[in-house]
Amino acid sequence: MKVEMKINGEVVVDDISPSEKLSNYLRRKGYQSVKIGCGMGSCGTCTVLVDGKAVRSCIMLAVQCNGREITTVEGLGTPTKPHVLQECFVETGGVQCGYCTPGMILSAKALLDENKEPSDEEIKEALDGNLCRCTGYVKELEAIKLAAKRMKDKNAKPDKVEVGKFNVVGKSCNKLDSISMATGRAKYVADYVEKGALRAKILPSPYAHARIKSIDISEAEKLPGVKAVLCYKNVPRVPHTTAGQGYPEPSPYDTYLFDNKVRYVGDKVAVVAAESEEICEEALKKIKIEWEELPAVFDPKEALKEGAPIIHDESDAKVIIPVTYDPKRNLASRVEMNLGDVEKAMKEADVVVEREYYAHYAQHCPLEPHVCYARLTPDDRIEIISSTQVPFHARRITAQVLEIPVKKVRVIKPRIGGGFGAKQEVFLEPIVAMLTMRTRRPVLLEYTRKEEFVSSRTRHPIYTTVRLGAKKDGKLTAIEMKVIANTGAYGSHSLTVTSNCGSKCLPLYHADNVHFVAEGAYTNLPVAGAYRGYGATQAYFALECQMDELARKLKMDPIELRKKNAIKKGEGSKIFEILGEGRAGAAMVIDSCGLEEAMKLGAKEIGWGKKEPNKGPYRYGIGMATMMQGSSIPYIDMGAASIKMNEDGSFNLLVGATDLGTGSDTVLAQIAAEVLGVDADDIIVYSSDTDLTPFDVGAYASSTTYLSGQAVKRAADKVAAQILSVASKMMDIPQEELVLKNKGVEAKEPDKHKGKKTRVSLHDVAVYSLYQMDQFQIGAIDSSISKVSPPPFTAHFAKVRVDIETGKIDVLKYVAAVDCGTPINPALAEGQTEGAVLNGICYALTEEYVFNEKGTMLNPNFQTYKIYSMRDIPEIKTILVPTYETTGPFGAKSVSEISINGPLPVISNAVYDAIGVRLTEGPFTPEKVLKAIKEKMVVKEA
Amino acid sequence: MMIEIEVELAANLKMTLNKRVFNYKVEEGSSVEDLLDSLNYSEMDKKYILVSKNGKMAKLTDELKDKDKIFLSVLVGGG
Repeated sequence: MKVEMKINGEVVVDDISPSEKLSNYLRRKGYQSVKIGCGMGSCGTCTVLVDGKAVRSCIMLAVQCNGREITTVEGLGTPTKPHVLQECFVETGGVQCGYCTPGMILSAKALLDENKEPSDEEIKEALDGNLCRCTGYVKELEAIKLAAKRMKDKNAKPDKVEVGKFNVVGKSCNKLDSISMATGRAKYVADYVEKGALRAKILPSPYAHARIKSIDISEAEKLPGVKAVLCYKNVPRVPHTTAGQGYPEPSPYDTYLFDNKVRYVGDKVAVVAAESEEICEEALKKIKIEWEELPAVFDPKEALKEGAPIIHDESDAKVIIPVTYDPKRNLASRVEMNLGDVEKAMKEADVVVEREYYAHYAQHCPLEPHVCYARLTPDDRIEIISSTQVPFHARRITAQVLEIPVKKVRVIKPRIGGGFGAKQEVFLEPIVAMLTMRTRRPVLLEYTRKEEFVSSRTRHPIYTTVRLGAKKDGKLTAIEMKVIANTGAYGSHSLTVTSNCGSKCLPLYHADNVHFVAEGAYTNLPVAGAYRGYGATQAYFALECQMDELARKLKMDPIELRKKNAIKKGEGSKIFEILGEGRAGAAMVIDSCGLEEAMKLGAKEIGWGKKEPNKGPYRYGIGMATMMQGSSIPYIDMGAASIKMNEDGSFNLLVGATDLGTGSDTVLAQIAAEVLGVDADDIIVYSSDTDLTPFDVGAYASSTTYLSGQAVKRAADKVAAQILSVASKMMDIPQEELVLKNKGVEAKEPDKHKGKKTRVSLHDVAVYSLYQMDQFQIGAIDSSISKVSPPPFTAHFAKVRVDIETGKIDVLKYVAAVDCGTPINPALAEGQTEGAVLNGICYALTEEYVFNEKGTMLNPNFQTYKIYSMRDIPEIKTILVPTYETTGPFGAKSVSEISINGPLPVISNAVYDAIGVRLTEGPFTPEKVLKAIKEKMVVKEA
Repeated sequence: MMIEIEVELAANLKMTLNKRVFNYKVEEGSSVEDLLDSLNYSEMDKKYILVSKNGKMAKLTDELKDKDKIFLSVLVGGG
């Protein structure tokens, strides 16, 4: 159908199929800022303006735009001449992964065009259709308010937090890649796809547990346009794990490219590569399968009982390191530790509290679902462009599964639209690479939102029972934690997540007697994996609620109870030695701890101790919790960096570290810039390309700032020494009397060197070393491993309102006071905290997997699996509590994961404060609150 | 002649005797590797088990002495 329209001011006349979606058309025409996040009009990443109104282009037909004017974010401004909204999103830190940013900016533009002075509520309403999982919306709201101000006053500036004594470190400089994201130029995986690339689709299992008695792919193969069909019959059977962890992986090798058995609804049965997605869908329908349905088990406690269906009955499932693994019992992992005598201590305690908690299924919901693209290079290698947190592990696992040498595989991570742990998994790369090898054509495989929910990875649902024993004065004498985790159909991250339940939580409090036992069980439900918090989220729910119960039983202020028992600077914990990730037996003494200060500042901000009176059906309460996490995995994780100097005094920084939207490229550039005496934007960062950048384990275990940052600092120190050496020759001043400063080298005491040149610019030094004398490339590579995992600490507080008639909980205010050592970039550290807090709040209140009795997820979409939009957010206040961690780069520790651990216990504790009922199972839906109120009334009446 | 040593397994290490902390008798002159063999750890297991003897990292060839404190662990890290 002939259509004439204007796109970004240019007249376009085109022949368009009446069924083509506007989003698809615009992407096909090269407007790559139009992103697909859900395909159902729920997430807003595809937002464009049509005649000035914000619309979701994935639910509009292109032909509906005949005679109309379309604006994409490319049409608003460019990196050199951005629109005021684009500027303000960049300057406030409103851009993290950037996948939702174009849509957000366009919705804001439509609002500001009509309303020059919108209120907060009007902004929130206008942006209600644009979901973001990274930021917590705090900075985006600030950005839009700033833009409105700047439209009237060109000098309006953002409030930028600065911390510490350094020149670049501790400054909230703009995220380096944010302008490309805000202007729609940043490239994500799907933006690399060439014309002629094949599309791939996976056939999901309709059964929770079944064996394939026979499979016939011949009809599918015959369909015109189909180029390959893979199933268990025509691929190698290589047991492996999809967990992108250090090698040898601690997760069981229980996964195959394709198998003759399926273990959950959504498990992969076969894959088709064809000329279009439509042909793929058609071909999948032509695959004929005869199934033998098997009994299924959905609860981890049931799965561990004798007689339960055995999910991994194959003979080749195994672990490759000596850890507990008993698939005949559905036991994917087991960890146990004892310290002292818990039973004796409990008997001797003045007060004992014990309760079981259940942290539920949840999905990471990155706005960009999993996506992978592969092509053959001219020298017949496989180049994989993937939305991954672990490019080097992806290379290793792909080579392993395809039984080809590592050297045949290159993995490139471009910009990626969020990960939160979901993309620490390697399940698409081997499939797409195999299709590319078979077809010798480029292949793209993009998960739909439904597939992302069902067939990617989830948080481990975990039952945690915590028993605490204490003396009358509040001194903890015994802690017991029992964990039963549901790892789903495969054991990815099972051992380490269950282990983390203890290792990240138990050392927070001193107790002489500790018992921890954790088991990970297979079930016939979606596969759990790494998810921000990584077990600590689930276990802190139980531990911190029990600390609250203990405080109430002791009639003690919960803050005082924590102060009395929490670990402090200069102290160690035997648990670090017995249970810590990395090399067991290695002690760790806390080098930096701002927990007490965090509790003090957080309490002041929330108004601790001030009780609000009841209003009608509303009851008010305040809750708090304290947490710690870690920074990297000692003796296992490794990061490396390479730096070379250019002739204008700029530097190329190459890192294997993986920026998944967090801003780690910027943080690493700031670290290098601080050492080299330049600005962060003098550092050109290139990250995560297995051919070009040095190795790094990837973005997980809260390691990038701390570990990769240390590697960058070490490489920069080497480069700095080379620069000083060259400058020393140029200036005839001893190297030790020179310093790198203001993009040059200066004599520390210029008066001492009269008659000599006391300053040379970095440009001069680079030109001298490249062109003039004793020429060499100034540059260095270095790497770093950690011997400790210094914990960041945090105290969280929430004020809630509970409607006792409806059961609805509203979080009115949330405060997170965080000690992350030196925040290298305070705005980004705040952004990490706000994003984690909001993710935790929706996890606590709304996010929920609903399954039917056959194990099918019934709500795999954003309409019924509710993550918060801007309109839902409470007031969120982040307080950075700087300390100085001497083992970290410029005193830094991690910040990204810790704050997701707070909302479950904090809200539960606040609800208890409000109405005296204990919520023990997430999410805290109105139904559960009403049920808990009713149960309490029944108990009272009895 | 037999000597007695104290053995402790890290929380995540596979148990072969169904206990995590125990006293264990071995022939005098036995090495760390002899101990691991006696505890039924496989050749592959031995590749990954880290042995600490009296608080210091030990090699497979190190000789055991009476009352040595042995801590067996495995490098584990995940996310």
